[in-house]
Amino acid sequence: MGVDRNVERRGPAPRVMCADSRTRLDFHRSCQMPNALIITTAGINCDRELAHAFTLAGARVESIHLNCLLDDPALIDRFQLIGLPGGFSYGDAIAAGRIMAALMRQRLYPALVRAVERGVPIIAPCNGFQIAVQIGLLPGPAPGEPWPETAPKPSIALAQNASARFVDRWCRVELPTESCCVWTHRLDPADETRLLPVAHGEGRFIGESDTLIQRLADSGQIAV
Amino acid sequence: MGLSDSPSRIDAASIYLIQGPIDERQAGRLAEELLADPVMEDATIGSSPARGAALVEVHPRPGVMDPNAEAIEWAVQSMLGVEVQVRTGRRYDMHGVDRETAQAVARRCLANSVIHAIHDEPYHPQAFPAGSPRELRTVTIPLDDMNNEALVRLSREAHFFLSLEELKAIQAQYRRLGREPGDIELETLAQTWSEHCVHKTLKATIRYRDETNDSDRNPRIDMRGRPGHEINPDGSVTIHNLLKSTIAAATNELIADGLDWCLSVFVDNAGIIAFDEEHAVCFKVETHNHPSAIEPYGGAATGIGGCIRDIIGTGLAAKPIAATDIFCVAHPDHWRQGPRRARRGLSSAQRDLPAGCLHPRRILMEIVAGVRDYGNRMGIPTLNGAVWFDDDYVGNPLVYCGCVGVMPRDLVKGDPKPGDSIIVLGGRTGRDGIHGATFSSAELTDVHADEFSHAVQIGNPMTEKKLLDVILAARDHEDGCLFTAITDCGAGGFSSAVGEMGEQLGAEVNLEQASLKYEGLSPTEIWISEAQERMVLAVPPERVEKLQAVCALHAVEMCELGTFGTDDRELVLRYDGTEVGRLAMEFLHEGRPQTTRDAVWSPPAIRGLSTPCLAAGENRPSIREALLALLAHPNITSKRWIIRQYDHEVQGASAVTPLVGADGDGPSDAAVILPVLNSRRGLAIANGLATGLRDDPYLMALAAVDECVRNLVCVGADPSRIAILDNFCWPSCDNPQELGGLVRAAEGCYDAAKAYRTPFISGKDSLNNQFTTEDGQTIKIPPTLLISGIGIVDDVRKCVTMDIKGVGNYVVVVGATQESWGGSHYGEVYGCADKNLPRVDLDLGPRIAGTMHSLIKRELVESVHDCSDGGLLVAIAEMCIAGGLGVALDLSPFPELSPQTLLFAESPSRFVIEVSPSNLRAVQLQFAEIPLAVVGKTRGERTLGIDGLECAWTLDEVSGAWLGTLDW
Repeated sequence: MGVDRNVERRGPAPRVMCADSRTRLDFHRSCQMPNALIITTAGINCDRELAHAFTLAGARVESIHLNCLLDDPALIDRFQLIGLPGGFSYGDAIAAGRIMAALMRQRLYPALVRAVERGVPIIAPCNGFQIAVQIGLLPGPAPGEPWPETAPKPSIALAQNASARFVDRWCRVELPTESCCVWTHRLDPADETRLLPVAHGEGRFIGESDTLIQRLADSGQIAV
Repeated sequence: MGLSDSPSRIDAASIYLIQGPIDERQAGRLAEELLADPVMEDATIGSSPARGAALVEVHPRPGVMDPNAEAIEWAVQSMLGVEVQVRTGRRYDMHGVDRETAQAVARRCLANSVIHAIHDEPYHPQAFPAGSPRELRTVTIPLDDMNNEALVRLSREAHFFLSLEELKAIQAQYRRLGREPGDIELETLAQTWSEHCVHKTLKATIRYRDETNDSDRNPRIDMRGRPGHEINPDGSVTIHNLLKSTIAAATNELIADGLDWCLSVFVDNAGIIAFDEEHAVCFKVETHNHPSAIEPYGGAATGIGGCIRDIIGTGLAAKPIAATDIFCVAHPDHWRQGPRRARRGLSSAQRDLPAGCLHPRRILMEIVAGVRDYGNRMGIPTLNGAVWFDDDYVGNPLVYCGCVGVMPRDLVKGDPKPGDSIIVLGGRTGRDGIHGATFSSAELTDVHADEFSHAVQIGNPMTEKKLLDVILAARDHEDGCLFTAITDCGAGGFSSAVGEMGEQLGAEVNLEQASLKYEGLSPTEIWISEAQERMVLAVPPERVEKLQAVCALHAVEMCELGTFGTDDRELVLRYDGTEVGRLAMEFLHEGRPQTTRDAVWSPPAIRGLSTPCLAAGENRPSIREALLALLAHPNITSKRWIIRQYDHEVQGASAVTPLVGADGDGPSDAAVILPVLNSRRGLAIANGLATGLRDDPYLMALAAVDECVRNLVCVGADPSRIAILDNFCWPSCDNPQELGGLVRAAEGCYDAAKAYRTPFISGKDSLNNQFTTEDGQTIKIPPTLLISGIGIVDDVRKCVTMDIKGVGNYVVVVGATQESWGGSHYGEVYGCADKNLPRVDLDLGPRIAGTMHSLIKRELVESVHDCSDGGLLVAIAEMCIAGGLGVALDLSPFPELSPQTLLFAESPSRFVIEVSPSNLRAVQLQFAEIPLAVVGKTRGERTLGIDGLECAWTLDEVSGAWLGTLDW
């Protein structure tokens, strides 16, 4: 029985992307002990291990519930590092990350763009990535172009996996030779043993146009 | 699907029905910004025209949990500032089929009529159905005049499932009190005294007779000197409280003998052991069989949800860190459904699926999906499991769900104090799940889906995740733990949660305080509802406000149901100030009459046949063919299809995951996690299941414990720090034969636990697992004993996996191979007449496990795999597949065994290890007193071959056979 979901198939989704080249930051030199913000809400479930990783990397970590940030978006201004953790925010009701993204898009977009413009690195694996895409933070403007004042209409989407179900497995990943991503740009692209676990039900990359991936590759916006 | 036609194409759409004060413009905004993806979806307000030949919509029935609706309501409220009600549904436009077929497809694949309504046109109600308030009516049930027959009828019709003796004890109690019981009181007694809650069979006095002749093939259990066992003059044995005299006795004897790391056994929601100086870990495994038979997705999901709540409700709350799942189902290819043979590949060996059963393929797919969706959303890695196929599970599949938790050692015990508030957190109470405890204690029939649909539920993992966040925040509150006791609302609902917590103190409950999903519930319904995702806490009054603040941040509902402590240790139930029930805690918990039950052991006639297995030389399958057939056997085949649907990385603490090896397709013997992230100390999790030995549950129990221990030892667990759980799933034990088997299994648990020094720390039983078809035939499940274990790993950096690591290493088999074929997969596939069952050597087995551990600790082995289902050759093939390397086997060290016996017999206590040439001498010295032989060498060539037998396979062949069967 064939179920057509009216979406075309492309390659596997990149798991980590950065917004644009201005987020490049020499982490170790410029900040000794950055304050890291982890945004949690109902259904986020990778906040503790992200906090552990930030702590191991030398950050001072604070997890703040989305409800508090929605009331006071300026809280974001005092952090030098931001993590959008993985999980199933709001149960991934409607679609993965949809509700959390809709709420952040409505009320936190300006504060997040302010952070990006300050050079704050943001890491958004897993549900965080799905959310960042739907907020309109990813892929972000091309290098040299300004951030729009209001959240742009998303240009990419993460569709349901081709298998139509959640998949957890370790994948070999390729690193592009040119990447502006703060999290991957110093890693050796020749290292073929690089493995990452993928774990998601909606991770099939769909771009609004065929040229999008090429554009992202040309501008170094593909992280892995 | 077993249907005559299949749609050529289906277009699917999500439907959101929204009720509330929103205008067209706001609806458009919701569609654009919330409900549809701008890149890949189109939204329609109203209904779009039909796109195919037939249209089907599936909506949850009124009152059925719609887990996404609540989150969407909240999102709409946040975005628009208006309150709305939401229900969700799915629409399918089918092409190339008529309406009838479309409905059949929906019934078979897309919906379950127990919980879903199927529509053939867009469903657009004027308003959502709502409950209406009702007047309080108290119902008393006149027991005084009832004779035995009337009592039995009452028990059946009201779904109490109480025995006549129990009803007579209740009748006598109310005669003493000089009044008639209220329905709420009888319901409370029925829940509290149900098999599910009180395990009355395992706690009964049992008179056991062994009617067999003692022989090698049919060993009598020596009952002398066992605690709680009395040998009668006629040779029968009286066992006072089977559970206490076997499983618990083993633990108590081990503790008395100096084992000092059990912190809480058999008393709490889970057993607790010490992990390190500061932390404890706890473990519980539950079954959710009957709900999963009727609605597999919801049954399995609420099964794992309930077990997770058990862990949250252990001591003063543990944090769940891993989940396990073990399923027993019928062979998916053996059953035919529907009026005619409509699908290719149906063989004549297929049987008609009995009425009232769901197809085993559907059951397996949906229980996997249920565990996946609940476990993943809770952020708990599902790390260990197994699937066992046997056609006798057709009407009564088994779904075991386990959960491991970690907690500070000073929080392992909670006790409510008089005056503490009874606080309920989490989900609202509805009419769902009523009579779950009594339902699970009954046997299934073809009409159960209709009769017990109210006992089946859909879980809402989001509610439970928020509940977990709140409880951990309240436990770790800056002012100290905000509660004095906690338990989950499982079977029996408030009735058993409050009844158990208040057992020593009494409790006063105001039922109108419960927050309800909808109006119109009677006090009795509120009291016994098993609505999911609720926890009950005892909170000192001065801390209630602090807890309220924590709940507010996480948007979790809280209500104050009453107070613990009454003058006379009573349970007092009120509704709006009117007393609706009053029960003495003493009668509730100790008033159940003790019964004596008869158990007999007279083994099946098929046992004891001694025809040599492989007498007929011509019919003997080639070794080449046999290996491929065994690798494709559903019990042995890769479970990758299931495992990869579960998140096993979440929480970032998984050191050894269920799939290991070069390409992540090797079956790990056990999983290892780091319960404390900044420590190197690990916890291994595994199970043992030896249902093949069902012909003698005593040997089956020994083998299950042995396998569980070996699995844990394989990855590096210390065998002197392993704790285990028992989960019995049995057919009706009203039958003395079945009870006889249960006794033997329990005796096996006692002997094995003492020999391996592995204490049982918790357990659970589910009896009455059988299904009666519409023509009155009873299909009993095989007696099934799951042993689950956790073991401490001193340093996860020394963990070993089962994939072959290098070229030129020796492949060594450790342990003795016995010539017995009963219960083996080779025997099942090729029909061996020899039904002798292998027997665990309780002296040798523990010594092998201990020695294996010291080898791993000294880093003398490259890989370790347990040799179990399918035998030695299957184990070695799995190691090759996992490592992507070949092995050349040489069977010459075993001249006394036929190649078939060596390669395919399933003798217990054996391991296969890979040893580098430089370590071989050290390994041989270590195993001086233990059977050990080099059987081959690893090689870079990707083939598995047997020298001298002209027998070889490419790795692609073996992995193709092994990965193919369950690649759904």
